[in-house]
Amino acid sequence: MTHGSTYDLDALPSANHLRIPSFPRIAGELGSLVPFAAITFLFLAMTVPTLMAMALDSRSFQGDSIWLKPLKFQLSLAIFFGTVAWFGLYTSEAFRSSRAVHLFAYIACFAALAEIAWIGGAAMFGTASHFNTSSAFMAGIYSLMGAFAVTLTASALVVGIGVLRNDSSRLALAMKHAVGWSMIVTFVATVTTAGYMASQTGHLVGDEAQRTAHWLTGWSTQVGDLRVPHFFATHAMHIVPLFALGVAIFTAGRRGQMSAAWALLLGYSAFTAHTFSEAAAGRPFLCGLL
Amino acid sequence: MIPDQLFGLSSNLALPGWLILAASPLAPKWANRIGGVALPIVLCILYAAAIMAYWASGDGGFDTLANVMALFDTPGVATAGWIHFLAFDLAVGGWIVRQAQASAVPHWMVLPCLFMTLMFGPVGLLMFLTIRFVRQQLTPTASSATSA
Repeated sequence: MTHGSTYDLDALPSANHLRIPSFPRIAGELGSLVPFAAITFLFLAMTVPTLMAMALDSRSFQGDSIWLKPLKFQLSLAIFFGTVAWFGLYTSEAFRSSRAVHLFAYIACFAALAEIAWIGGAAMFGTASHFNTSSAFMAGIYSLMGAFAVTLTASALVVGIGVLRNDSSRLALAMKHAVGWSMIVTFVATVTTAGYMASQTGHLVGDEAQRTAHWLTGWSTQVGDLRVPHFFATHAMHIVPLFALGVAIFTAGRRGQMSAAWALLLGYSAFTAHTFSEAAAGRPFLCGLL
Repeated sequence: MIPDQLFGLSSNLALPGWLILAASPLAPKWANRIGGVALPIVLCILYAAAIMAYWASGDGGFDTLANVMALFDTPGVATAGWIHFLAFDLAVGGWIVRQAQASAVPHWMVLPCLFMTLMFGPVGLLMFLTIRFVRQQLTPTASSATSA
């Protein structure tokens, strides 16, 4: 134990980081962004009664259990807000103590709660949520929910800008650009693709003689399905940083990482735009090859 | 799962909870954690699922007696209503046990309150509140003890 006397854990500023992060510590670090973490846990918790309702309820909607859609939205929004909260840790201290950001986080989470209540409520009463214009009331809620959807998606935009504007980021510059810009791509491309989908009468483009669904994704294998570009648009902030991380690991210490990050961002955006034009033209995802 | 099975399942969850609360002096901490907290939470989740699945299948509403009776005409909604009883009664049972421990009400006085809460909910709560109130009045407090 020659180094025993000099190896003083308390003197190391990083000693705290050796502990398993506790929820109060995460909440303290998140500051203004804490509603995003809270709503992540809330949506995850909601999947438990929803799964049970699925087991109890024999009603179906368009061939699936009536509770499949609420379950999918609870999980997707939990993943969305969980990511926003996580990447929010890469914004500056000033950003995370801003009252304006705190207020926005509450508004965005309220919008998300309203979406889940609307989708779950419609399922409870055995009716459609999206594309439901059967009564003036449901049509009014549907258009209001469009505005709420844009508001909640703007969390990615706001936090993405916060990540990019952090001058003392813990992330390498290329990674900072990949994370921040991919969140902005998520917002812009989601609002574009989902907004276009909402302006149609349903998510399919073209007539199916018989309803088809890919075994994993549920997307149509015969005609255009606007949920495809929506999926890739929204997951930009997952897929682009993941590939950027891969590039960073395999090319550690070499130059050109920034160019690689931007190639990923542009390439992924182009791919998303391609799936959008494909679906809008009535063609299935990758010509139905998968 | 049909309402009959759900009814059986929820009863099988509630009864062990009551037995655990009745035996709470043996392991007060864990009796409260399981019988007073965990099982009521499970029943609350079951209630939420049942109301999500069955609410739309019932007629009626909360506004008139006839409408409330109409609600209970549907097996699914009636089962959900029954789980509501089970969940809240057991949660109140757990509260009674915690309060009794905090204000040192002997367990043999708590047992009839628990039984009445299981059978006739509010009656058991009323019994416990009365017992606790009377004991507090009869127990000399620190201030009255010094003045006497």
